[in-house]
Amino acid sequence: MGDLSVVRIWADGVVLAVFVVAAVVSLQAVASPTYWFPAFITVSGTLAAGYNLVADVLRVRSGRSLTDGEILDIGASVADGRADDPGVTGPGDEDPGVRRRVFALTAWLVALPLLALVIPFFYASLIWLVALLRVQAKQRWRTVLVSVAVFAVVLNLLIVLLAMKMPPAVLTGLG
Amino acid sequence: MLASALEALQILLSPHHLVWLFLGVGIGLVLGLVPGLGGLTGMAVLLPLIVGLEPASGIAMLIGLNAATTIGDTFPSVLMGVPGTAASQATVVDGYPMARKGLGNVALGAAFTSNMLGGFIGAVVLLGLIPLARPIIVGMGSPQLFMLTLLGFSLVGVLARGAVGPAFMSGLLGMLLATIGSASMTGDYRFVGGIFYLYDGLDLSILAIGLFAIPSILSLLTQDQAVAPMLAHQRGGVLRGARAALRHPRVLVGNSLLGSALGIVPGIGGSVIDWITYGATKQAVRKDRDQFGKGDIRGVMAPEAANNAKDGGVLVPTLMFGIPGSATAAILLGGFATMGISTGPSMLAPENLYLIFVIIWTLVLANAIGAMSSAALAGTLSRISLLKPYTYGPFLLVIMVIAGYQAGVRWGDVVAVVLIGLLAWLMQALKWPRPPLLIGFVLGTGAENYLWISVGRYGWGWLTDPSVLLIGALVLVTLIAGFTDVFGRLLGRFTGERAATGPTEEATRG
Amino acid sequence: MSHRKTSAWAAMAAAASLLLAGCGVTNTGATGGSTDGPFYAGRQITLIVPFDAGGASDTYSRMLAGHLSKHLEGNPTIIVENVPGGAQKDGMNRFERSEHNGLNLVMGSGSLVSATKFDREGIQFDLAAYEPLVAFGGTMVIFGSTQAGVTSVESLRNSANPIFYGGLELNASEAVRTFALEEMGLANFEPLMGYDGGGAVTAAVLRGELSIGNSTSSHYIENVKQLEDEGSVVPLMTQGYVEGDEIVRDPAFPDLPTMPEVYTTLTGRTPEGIGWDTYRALTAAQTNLLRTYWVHGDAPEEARVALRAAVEELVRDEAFTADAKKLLHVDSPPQTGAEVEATIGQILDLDARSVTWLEEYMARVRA
Repeated sequence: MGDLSVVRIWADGVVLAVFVVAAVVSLQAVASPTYWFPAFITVSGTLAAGYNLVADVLRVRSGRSLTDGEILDIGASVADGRADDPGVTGPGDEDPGVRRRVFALTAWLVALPLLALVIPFFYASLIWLVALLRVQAKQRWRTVLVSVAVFAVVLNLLIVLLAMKMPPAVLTGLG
Repeated sequence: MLASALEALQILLSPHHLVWLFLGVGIGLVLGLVPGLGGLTGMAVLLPLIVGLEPASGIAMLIGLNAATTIGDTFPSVLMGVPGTAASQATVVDGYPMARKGLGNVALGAAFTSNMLGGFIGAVVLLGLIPLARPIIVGMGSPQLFMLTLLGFSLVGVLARGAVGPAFMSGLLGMLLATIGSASMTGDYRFVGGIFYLYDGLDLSILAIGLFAIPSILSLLTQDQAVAPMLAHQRGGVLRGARAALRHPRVLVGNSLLGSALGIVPGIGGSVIDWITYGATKQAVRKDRDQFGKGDIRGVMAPEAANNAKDGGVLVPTLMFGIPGSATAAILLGGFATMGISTGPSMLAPENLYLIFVIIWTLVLANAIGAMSSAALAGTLSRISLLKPYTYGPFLLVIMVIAGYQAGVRWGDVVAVVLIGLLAWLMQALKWPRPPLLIGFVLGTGAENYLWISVGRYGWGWLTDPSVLLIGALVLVTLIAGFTDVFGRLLGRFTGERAATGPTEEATRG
Repeated sequence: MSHRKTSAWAAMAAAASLLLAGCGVTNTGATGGSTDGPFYAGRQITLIVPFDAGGASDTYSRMLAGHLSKHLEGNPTIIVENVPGGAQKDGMNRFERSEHNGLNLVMGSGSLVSATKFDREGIQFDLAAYEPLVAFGGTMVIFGSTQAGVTSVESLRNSANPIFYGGLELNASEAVRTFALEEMGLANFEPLMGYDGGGAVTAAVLRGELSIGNSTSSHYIENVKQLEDEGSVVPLMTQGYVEGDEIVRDPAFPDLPTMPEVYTTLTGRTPEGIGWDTYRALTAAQTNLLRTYWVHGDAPEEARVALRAAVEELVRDEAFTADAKKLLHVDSPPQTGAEVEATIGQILDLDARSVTWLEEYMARVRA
């Protein structure tokens, strides 16, 4: 996944920019105690981000990938490789489907709140689930409908028992 | 003393109180099991129900619920790599790799054993510390609290596993996020950019869901394959885990004590206690330290023992000073007020002593019941790791978004959860460590306020206070440990050790 | 893979258009009720509480909801909805957006009332358009640390050490207390904000980190009183209640002077001028209006009449008063009707000079 190194350098730059902007804001107002601590944080952050950017650029120049080192990470990762076949490990660039699925799932996740803006969240989530399971996971209609129906009951129970609130949709007034 | 202890146990064991305890534990387990929901949701729901309840029943239900959430939350942490609550994030580090090797049920067995023993030790600590509560609380001035937040933050270096630069940047980013909103020393708003949603600052639960839970589910869905191809021990895996846990008594007892001690310190809370104990354990053990992060059972035990033990510690300032040690403790205080139980020093009065014992016994019983019923379920539930992610992932995503909305009941919460989730996924892909961000976020507010008060109150003289110097020395040791680890790794890399260890590492990971 | 993806997108588009077509589904629970009989018979009232579940305001409101229901003709169920955040503004904004049909009530504290003057950002409502039904009071107790050498009000003035006063956050309410203390001519007075709650302030006072701290009277009775009995803290003064134009002592602490009284004792002067005027107005907000319950001013007349009658009964109901006392350990003096409107009017009609004065004062403290 060599091109992720490029993304990381860009991201380094973005984080650096965020810190620099925040540092400028803080230092301009540093007369007020409101900004003392932020000034300290943002200046340190600017240094750390600058160091990272330089270090990453140097590492890329020396021909190493930035994203195959070990870090403290938790949970599943797209780079986990196949659990049932330890032979195929690490960077998923052997499987071009990974990247496509990453973008597809990103779009799906964004789609949920967008849909919920229009339709009340409860119904929106059910429709979203049916669409996701059918279109993205390509499950059989029967599986999709049964699992979503069961989920609807469970979700309803949770909402009622836990007095959970649902985001209002535009259609029903954002009140 | 002994008489009121026995009296309290007798009260609690009478059927009509026990029912409430079971109810609380049951709800707690479910809430822990569902990622995104936690004790806070449950306590808020149960609060109206305790009106008119006898104090012992109410205590049994609320405290039972609270203790059980940190037991139930182990299931998703291990089996899906999704923290069940913010208090079991660190469990994922080693629990999930174990599940990937088909050792999910073993990890769960070890975790529940640690939960139970941690809970017991926490209860004992509560009992032992109640007479000492006052010197402890009074001894922890703002300078000491500031240094303790620094100590917590310095563990970022130990946790970083080599990427110290990105780790500290991530931690500082967390601290920067924590400064969003109003500054308590002046009441001014900062970094809000005119967005009303940000005036309150970001909510910890939203950050936790977005940072860890959503990326993990998205990754599982991207892979579209079960976490483990099969279970290594179809039968007896849970027991095997329990036995394995008992082989590390020092990890168990040490982390339980550390967890309950950290519970007393205000402003730390479960979401960071698990990381601190994990880091401290990794630092303290001598044997096979390399295995941490690759499915070491001690890495599961440390945070799980601590997150149940902390409940005992949290209750010390809550009961004695009305200082809620956590958000759930604040609700607990409200519950006590509703039931007419007055907290504060009067808790120690002879006529109230039995209540303290009711609380302690509740902790013991709730942890025992919760851990045992979880262990009973573990055999079945560990098969979740054999399921295709699409059978549960999409549903969990919906629940997480809803859970995020509960934080502030604003549309901004939904947007924030999704946005942070996607950014965190990118962070993960770019190999930027995410835990330091959360640690920085949690400790940032305390660090700023305590520093401000320390300087305002003592000038810079507090820096030479012996206790401050002592904690400062610990910070230095921790920092050096974090950095020398890097040097060790670099050395190993240059001597060509990497070539030798590389494939085996990959094998254990895969 | 790619052609399957295209078909997937087509299917998604189809699904999306389907969804848009079927978007008439709504989940607003229409609250049906009978047209004859009492307005509230068979209805459900939502009481918005702009604080977290479990806090003092929340538990108080839940207790009140139970009693209010009994006194309302038709005995509607009253459910409490917590909308915390945004310094109560989120809750109030939610109340504004809810239906003005008499089935929605809201609780707010005095700092919300002062926020309409001093911290307007994010406010999407107009308090003048709401009808306050009832307000319950509660004052603040200022207490000193014997560890820091504070033994009496006089020792504050004569102290060789600086006097550190601690609080949670510098807002308008905290600013007037700071102002009052500063006016008393305390030696090297230094306010320190940023404590993490009333308990943290108490602990800091015990430790001697703070010379003086403040606490709500109910927190004081529950958590601090015993420290007073054993001699670790000394109660010094209260913020007082406002009655008419006067600041009077808290009935729960009849022996404790109010801050203006202490000012007179220590300086020999009478509290006058714009600073003390502002103090009085904000004290009314902070203490008399500690917990105020509102209904929309344009809610049906029928509903408002029923609510007014119910709160009049409520404040005279001994069972309610006893429950309130059990919860808070102190009396919470109520105000209803014209009285509470007058108190709120004091802040809503606050002189523009007072507003600028306080803003400038706060800027000075911050620097």
